[in-house]
Amino acid sequence: MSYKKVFPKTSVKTVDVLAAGGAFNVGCYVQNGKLVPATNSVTRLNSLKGKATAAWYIAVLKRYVLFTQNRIYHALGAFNNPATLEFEASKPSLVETRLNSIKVAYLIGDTNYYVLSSMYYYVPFKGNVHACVLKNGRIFGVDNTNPYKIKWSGEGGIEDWTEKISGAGWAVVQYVYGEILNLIVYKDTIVAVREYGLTFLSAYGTPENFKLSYLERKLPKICQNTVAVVGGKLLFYTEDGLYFYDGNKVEKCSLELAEEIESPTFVTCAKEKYYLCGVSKTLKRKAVLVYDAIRNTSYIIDAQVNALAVGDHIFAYSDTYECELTEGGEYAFTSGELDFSSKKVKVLKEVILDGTSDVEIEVSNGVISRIVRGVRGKFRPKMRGKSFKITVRGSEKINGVSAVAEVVDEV
Amino acid sequence: MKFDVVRVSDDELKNFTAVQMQLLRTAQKSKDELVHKMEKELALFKKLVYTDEMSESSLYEQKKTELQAELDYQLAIIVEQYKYGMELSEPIIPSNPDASKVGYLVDYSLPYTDRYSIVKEYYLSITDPSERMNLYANDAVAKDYLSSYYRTLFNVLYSYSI
Repeated sequence: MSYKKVFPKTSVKTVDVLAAGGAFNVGCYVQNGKLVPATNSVTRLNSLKGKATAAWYIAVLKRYVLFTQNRIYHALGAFNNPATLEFEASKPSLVETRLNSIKVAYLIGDTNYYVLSSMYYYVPFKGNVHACVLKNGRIFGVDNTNPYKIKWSGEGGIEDWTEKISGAGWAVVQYVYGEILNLIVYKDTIVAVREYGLTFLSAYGTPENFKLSYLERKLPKICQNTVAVVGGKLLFYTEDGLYFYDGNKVEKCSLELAEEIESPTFVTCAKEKYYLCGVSKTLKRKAVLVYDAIRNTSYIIDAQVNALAVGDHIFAYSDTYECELTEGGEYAFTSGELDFSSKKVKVLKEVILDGTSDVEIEVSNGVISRIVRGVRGKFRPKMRGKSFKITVRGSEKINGVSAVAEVVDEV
Repeated sequence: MKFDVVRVSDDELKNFTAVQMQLLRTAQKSKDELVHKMEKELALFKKLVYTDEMSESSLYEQKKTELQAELDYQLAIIVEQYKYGMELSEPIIPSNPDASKVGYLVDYSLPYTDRYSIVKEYYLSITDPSERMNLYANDAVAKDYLSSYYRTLFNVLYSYSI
């Protein structure tokens, strides 16, 4: 009688690394099965005399404006020789408008507002509001002493705070959805972004026609200064991740990085992109989450900044310096867990890259990891494990990444 | 009717002529209509404010202030018109001293049709036809006051006594 060793039956399986769920991509995004470099080059520029808290790009004046706790910087580009001014604002806001047909922007602080145009000057602010927006010539803001109260100016704008039926006035929202965090104009309506919901102020015509309505749904706690309109949607960040409102309903964004940020500090948007500054849960340091509404994708910019302004350039501002963010730099794509649809131990035989430049590959089975530099074409890790994570670091576009494993067949 | 469009004492009211009384009534009616209209508009606005979830806002009080200002403006016009009318309708007291002795109002500023109605109303209040005709035939004040209408009223009163 002879005994023949019987090996379990195996098969070779190939998976698309870029398509695996749970990926984390820094400075790159996946589109049509390809890994494409995005903004991730951080060039340090000028020092700042204070921690950046808010920044804007004023399109009508083509100026970049930064607020650092008690000081304004503004310039046509980088702050090589910026105009700086002392300015008190606990919650500054900026509106763009016209004053006697001249393009101006108002940077609104606690007791003064700063007029930016061909000249720059302070004016006492009588509105006693913050989080200001402009609609139909009126300034709308949140009362500085009552966070449930929306105030509006008369049609005379920022100087017109005389209360009368066709002039300035106020309305208090229902308390159930929490304090008002921000105001934003969306689809011709003033949206009050609350701690736990959205409230809409329809502000057509004269105030006697104004109406309040409520989103009849309590939302996860919304973070302040995270709301922006991108791609026709109102985006805001909550404790449960990134949500959007499309005019009819609120939904959570179905993005890999929808929950990546914690402690968000500042948001801006430009060119159909949503930029959210905060702390990356994976990197465990400050970073910027970018949601690209055109490509419906998201990625992280590894820049430790508090705020940014997007115009022709992207300038970002940290606690102590200004930097410029540009396309390029080294990106890092880390796949989700690759288990080749099997819970058994398998051997990762090959990682195949369809690209023309060398990249760095890191393969991990959760216990050990192996890093190989200068990889082009194929890499054969021959690593055993139940599941793997593959990280690709490079700077050029890759047309596809696939992984091949020898998997013991399931009975 | 309660009069509050202007301040008028009861004594003043007693001395008002029919025309003055009519002026006061017209002014009061205009005011009452305006107040009613304002109250109606304000009530409707209150409903709208509640429907629009704006109950806790500046709007209701601002609307009330606006409507009150409009009412005050319209009232000022009404009072001005009333005062002007009153100045024009001061009764023209007749020189005949017997005019104060007759039982009806003698006011030469009134048109003849009004004078006719006043005198007719007075004489028809006398129930005895013969006494009525006797008094009227000897009423020199009425003859002067009604002029050509005196004869017409005589015929009318006579027809009642047949």
